[in-house]
Amino acid sequence: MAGHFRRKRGRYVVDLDTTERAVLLSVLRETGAVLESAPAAGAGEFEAMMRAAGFGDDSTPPPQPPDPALARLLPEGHRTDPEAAADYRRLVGDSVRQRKLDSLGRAIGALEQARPGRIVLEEPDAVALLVALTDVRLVLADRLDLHDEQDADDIERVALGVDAEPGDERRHAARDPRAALLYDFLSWLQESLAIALAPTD
Amino acid sequence: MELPTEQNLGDVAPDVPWITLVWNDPVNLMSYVTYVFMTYFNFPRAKAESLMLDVHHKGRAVVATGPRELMETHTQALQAYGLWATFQKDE
Repeated sequence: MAGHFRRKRGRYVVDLDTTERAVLLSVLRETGAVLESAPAAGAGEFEAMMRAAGFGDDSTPPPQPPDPALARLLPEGHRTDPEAAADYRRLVGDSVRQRKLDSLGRAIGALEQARPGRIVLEEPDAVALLVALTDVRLVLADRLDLHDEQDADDIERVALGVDAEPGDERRHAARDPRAALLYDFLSWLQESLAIALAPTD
Repeated sequence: MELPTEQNLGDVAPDVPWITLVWNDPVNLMSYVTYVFMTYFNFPRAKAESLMLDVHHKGRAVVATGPRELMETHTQALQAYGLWATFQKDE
């Protein structure tokens, strides 16, 4: 079955045609770009300090507002205490972002080397893709306004071309059907890979 | 008299354990959450699935308890896997 991983003799196999492989690479790269766009930990503070000391460079453009998907990719460590959250951010620094970029980079590298058709991944590359797919889907979920199970159900409807539940029409209409279909495809891909990689007890 | 240590400077009661929580996010597949719990914590399947179902049905689950630094480390690792993890005092 296309777009469905299975385990074969210790490796992870999926059939992806030219378009599917290209789309997958594209969303992996796009997710990497979103993570790259995050200010490196502490960078904002240093710049603010420089400006306050009169060393600001007026020719540099003001920083872009952060991509909203970043809030889901790089969440706070503490939900209610801003000081604990700040401590956590100082402790963690850039490491979560870097680990995510490493997974994405590894997955992209493995897929770039594979030709469309039957793609065979060694376990470390399969694991990298499994982890990377979560971040890809988090970014897509942000674009699709997906925050709870009800939203997930509506996105299914959008993907299938089914009408909205009564009361949900506005949000339903705002969801891009191609993004919904892509989200569906990637969810199925990730699900099959998680099952294929599941450790045996 | 107890000398100040790194741990009890921040905490009123130094023995209060901290916890790591995983929160429900509709993007995280049940199969994936189970995979992370088995792989990262080395939980047996039954425990991993039970915690995953708690996350799914109750909105959150406590996946670890212990000193603050360790809970922060677990939070960091779980976030790197794409789970919505946080830490807090166990109160």
